[in-house]
Amino acid sequence: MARGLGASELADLYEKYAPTVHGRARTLLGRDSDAWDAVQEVFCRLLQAGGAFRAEARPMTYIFRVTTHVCLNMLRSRALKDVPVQAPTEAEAAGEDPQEVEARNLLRVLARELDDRALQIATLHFVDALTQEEIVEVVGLSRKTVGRELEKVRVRARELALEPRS
Amino acid sequence: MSGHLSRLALDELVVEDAPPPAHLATCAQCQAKLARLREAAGAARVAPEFAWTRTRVLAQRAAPAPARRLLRTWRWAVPLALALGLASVVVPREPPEGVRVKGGPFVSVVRQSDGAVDAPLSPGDVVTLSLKPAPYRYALVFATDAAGKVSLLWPARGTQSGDPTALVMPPTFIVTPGDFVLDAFFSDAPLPAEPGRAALAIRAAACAALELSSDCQPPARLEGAAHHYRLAVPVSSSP
Ligand SMILES: [Zn+2]
Repeated sequence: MARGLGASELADLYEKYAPTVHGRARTLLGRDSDAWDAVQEVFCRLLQAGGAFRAEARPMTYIFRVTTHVCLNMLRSRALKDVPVQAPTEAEAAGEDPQEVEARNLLRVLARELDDRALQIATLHFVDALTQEEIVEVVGLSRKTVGRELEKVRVRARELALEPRS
Repeated sequence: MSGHLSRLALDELVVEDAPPPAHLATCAQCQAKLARLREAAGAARVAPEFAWTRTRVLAQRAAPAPARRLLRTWRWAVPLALALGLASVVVPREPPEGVRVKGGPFVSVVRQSDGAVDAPLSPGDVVTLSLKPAPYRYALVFATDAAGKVSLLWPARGTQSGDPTALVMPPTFIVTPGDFVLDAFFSDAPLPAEPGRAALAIRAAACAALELSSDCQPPARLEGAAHHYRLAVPVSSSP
């Protein structure tokens, strides 16, 4: 831990990135309190990773990677447990971008269908509209693998007749 | 694909990690999305959860390894006492019964692992504050760290005394390194917190000037306070 994040360094990272982590977690999870739980978990993981973050050429890709992991874990454990798929996210959905709500519903279905890697890629593609190059950067897999997974995910979404209009 | 900016690119613009790409100037849709994300980020920053979560994250950094695991599993922390070396976390757990029998109002610190009362603590110990104001009604508890910094410990987010009988859950803390002193003021009517904090800070500063521990003298009498109780809690340097 000697080269880990110092308190002020961690506080600075939190100051800068926590609001966008919250925003994205809110999009993926739908509930504000869940989103704050995710923020905490994301920063705890940054803390555990120590100084790794400093070496990132594009810090937001790192933030995306960790946030995706954390949120999908939360989503999956919830999807396994409860929540009828079509359940609207209550009053909280009011005023939200309908595309986001739609993407989240898709994600809920896919969370039961896909393995971790495919779900991660599906999220970055359908929900976050990342380009293939960006997905490669975030997930750290080869272009070829990402391409193959994307194809698989699109096919599955079409089969489920869930692919959002783009 | 559309050529619109991805969430990754938009988030980078929100945190100003990247300069705006040319597309942005020509696309009303992306501009609107960016505006919405900026607005949401601004709202998140001023939400109370923003500060609470920051406190929990920083407490996690300060806490020794065993306490970190516990901290992670707790959802709502009360934002205080970080500077003092304590992370306050409200958990749905009762302190052990039969804390102790003693005359007069007092405050005690109960270690959750074994129920030890007012025992010397180690970093990582989880403790609850047991408040017994009888025969008075209200309590106001401050904590002073070894450096003489005084913080209102309970009520955590108040500006005056609280009524311990109204407590739903006991105030719970994770101990981090450094001795501390608790000062409780009991009264029949709520006391404002600031005079108490000031009285303690003045004495702590005086003690520091004499190079004595921060509890070298009791605080000046506090107007309205019926009873003052002090508890010094040593914390060993290793977990
Ligand atoms: Zn656009």
